[in-house]
Amino acid sequence: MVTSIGFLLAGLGGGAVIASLALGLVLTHRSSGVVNFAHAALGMYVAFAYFEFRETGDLVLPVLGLPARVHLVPRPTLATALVFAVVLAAALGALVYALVFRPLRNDPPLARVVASLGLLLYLQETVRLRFPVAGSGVVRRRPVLPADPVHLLGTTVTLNRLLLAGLAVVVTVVLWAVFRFTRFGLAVRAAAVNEKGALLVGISPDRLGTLSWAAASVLGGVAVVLIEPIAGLSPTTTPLLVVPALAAALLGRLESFAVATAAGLAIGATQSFILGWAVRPDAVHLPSWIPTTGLQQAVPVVVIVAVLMARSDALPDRASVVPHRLPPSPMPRNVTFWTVALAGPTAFALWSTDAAGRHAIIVSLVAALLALSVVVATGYVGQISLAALALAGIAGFTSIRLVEQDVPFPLALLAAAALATVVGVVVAWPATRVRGMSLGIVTLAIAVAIEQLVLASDAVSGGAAGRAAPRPDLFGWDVGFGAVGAENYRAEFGLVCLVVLALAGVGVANLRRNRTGLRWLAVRANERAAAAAGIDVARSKLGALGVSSFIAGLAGGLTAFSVTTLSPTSFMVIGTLVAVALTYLAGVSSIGGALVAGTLTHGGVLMALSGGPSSGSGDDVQLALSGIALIVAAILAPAGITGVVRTAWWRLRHRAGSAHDTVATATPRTAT
Amino acid sequence: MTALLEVRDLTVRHGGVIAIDQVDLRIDAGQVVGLIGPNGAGKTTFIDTLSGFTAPAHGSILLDGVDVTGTRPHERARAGLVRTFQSLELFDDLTVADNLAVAAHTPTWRSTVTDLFRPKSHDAADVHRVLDQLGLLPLARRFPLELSGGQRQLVALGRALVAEPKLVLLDEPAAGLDPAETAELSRLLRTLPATGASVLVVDHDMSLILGVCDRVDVLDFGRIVASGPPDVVRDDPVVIAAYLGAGG
Repeated sequence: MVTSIGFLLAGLGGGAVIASLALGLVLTHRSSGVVNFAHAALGMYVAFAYFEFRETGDLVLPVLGLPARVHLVPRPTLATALVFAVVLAAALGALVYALVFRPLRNDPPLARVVASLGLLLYLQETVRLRFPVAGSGVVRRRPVLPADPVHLLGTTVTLNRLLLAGLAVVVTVVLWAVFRFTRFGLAVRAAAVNEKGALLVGISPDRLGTLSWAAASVLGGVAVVLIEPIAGLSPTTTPLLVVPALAAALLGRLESFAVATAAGLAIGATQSFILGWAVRPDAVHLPSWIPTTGLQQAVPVVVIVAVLMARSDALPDRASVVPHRLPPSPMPRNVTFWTVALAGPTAFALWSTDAAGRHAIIVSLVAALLALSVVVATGYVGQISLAALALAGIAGFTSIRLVEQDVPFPLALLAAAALATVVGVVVAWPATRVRGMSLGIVTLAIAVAIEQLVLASDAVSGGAAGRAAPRPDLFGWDVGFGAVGAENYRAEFGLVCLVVLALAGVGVANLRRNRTGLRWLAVRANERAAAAAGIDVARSKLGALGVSSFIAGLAGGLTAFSVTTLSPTSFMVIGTLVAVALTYLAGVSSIGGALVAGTLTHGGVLMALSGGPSSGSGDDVQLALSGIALIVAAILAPAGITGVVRTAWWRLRHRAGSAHDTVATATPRTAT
Repeated sequence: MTALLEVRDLTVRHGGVIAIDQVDLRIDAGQVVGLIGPNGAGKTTFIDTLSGFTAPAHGSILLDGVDVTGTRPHERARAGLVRTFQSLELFDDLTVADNLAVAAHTPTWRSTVTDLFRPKSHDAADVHRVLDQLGLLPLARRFPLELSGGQRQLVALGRALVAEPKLVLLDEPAAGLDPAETAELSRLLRTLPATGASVLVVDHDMSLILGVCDRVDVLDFGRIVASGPPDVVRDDPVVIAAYLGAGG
């Protein structure tokens, strides 16, 4: 009993950080309608900059192209350093709002998600570029809060954990009071209900947004600085703190500060409790192959999904029908022609380039398959699902297992994809009740749980070491490859990927052209009207998400055989986020968009054509730049690259005078 | 004879407010019934409840003698109880023809699987017939946002009719129509019973309601306050009071 309390109290530190990040998420969501996936990444940058400044007195600038650092003061004190962190965080928050999210104020939610993912990538890579993680350049990180032991309730807990939790509660009360009693709070609440009305009575949404973003950024930055002694600080893990924070904020409907804080503290305490319970020597009930960290992630997720499902309705009510405003989904035309015209040259290229070229093509083909799964889920049926790579991972390790058991390679691929479909439909079950961004957050949390509970398990993947795939053959025809020379990335395997992609693409095109696709688009456009037209909305969504999961499973199976050792790191959630963002950038509601996304992918064809992936820090620069590209694209081209091309093509034809009566029908109604 | 639609003792609450208060209503096959009432009387809530979008607190709804009270909206649509929306709610991403095609057929798991393997294949005879009936054929490949308000109303009506309903619930089908279009709509509604579709129509346009309905029911504060042939209801003092206010 006493130890249990100890574990719960120990979780207050982690819980306080989740809570403070959740407060920031609620703040920015209430004031500007943005769900900021880069919130923890912003805090991470502030924390890195703080520790650097505390030791060296240097300000490290997060802008590539500017000088890396500016020397400010010789020997900063703790107080100076804290003031520095607050000012930097506030400036960063205001800047991000002004440059990224204010221009996106009237764009679809997905565009803002893409922009925030771009920001996340940018900050992550900038930190990797600017702050050494090893060697003599690494600065000492002096903790801010004292970690003295305190005796409480018969157990011992460090002071910093209690202080963190206390701070989180104080900030919550302050935020609540500000929103409840001040003109600022009233203004934010008014603007959230009716922005035009707020403008008319003299409230500037821009000022509200700037202030809120600055405040949220300060909250996040300070939280990450203070938690460093407990949770550590790294460009890989810290940005993902946003996942439990989003879950906590979602329990408060992205509206309630109090619920977000309570949920955050509860999640932290639960996770700590599970960890403590699992490492106790007498806890023999737990099989050793269940990864403890995974269990830590999974338990809160189950609770969150249950709560959300219980309080949502199967159909949105009359007042809350919001337009999805996804880019229009064009009817696929000339499918046979395009299949031949694209697959032919690709096959030719496979046999005519070197190993590096073949590798790039294979990477692009598999990425296009993954993007195709995003097109079906998000582009066609309008559901933001962020679990694609987790499903791909399940299929990947399953297919290796099956081939090891002498199941023929193509059958193993199909069976693994079928398993991914089943899991995918279960994961997507919340979609029958939870909508829009909330669904994105829920599926993201489930994906993290799958990643850490299933994929990281020794029994499934061999843990960090990974699992080597047997050499695949197609009924006797060797389609595998070796590590060196002409054996490296053999064209035969590329052909397998090409055929799978072509079949999946034609299948999706057929669905889109038939009534099934019409029903998906109807559900995407308007769930109430779809139900009135006799469509079973829940079944349509699950059907589409099942197809999407199957395709993701195929991508996972092919991934498994395209590397020498498959490790869980191939399927981290950040990869799904990047895939969704790239697909959106390329054109989320058309098959062409998926193909373009494949070529754009990291290590894919475009990168190979533009000089090949450079090594070391150059790679990071490229990733950072692709982060910026995502932000710019989200602002400038909401219909994606294929949408822009299609509009340009139509204009060209229109001007050429081919304005017969079918023109109106071919009008690509550009997203406005 | 079994009524086509029988509503018994229907009560709907929005929080603490009673929106529909113990309503009984009967529609027989072949009837065109009008439902009128001042704003806020509960007309749209009534249609929402009949079509399954709002759950009643009490009472039952029978379609062709079968209790459909607890069923979901798409199940009622497939059973032949189809509605339109006051705000139309057309699928803006789909062409006019596809807006109708969505509602035309009941999907099965098998059709989803076969759709995967065949190029475009849906037979469009039923869609074509309804488009023709409503004079929408020239607009078949246009998108809803390119049409006039009157044309959009017709698309909404077409989407309801293509499902071959036994009873179609029309929520303000004349909103936004000019007098000529309203007259055309009246003529059209009169032809529906002959095609097998009875009608419950809610509208504010008295010329439409009085011109096409066999019977008019008047709803006020969630209760049916009058019911009868159009010319009788028109002169009913209770109805005049409901519209002009109790004191007027």
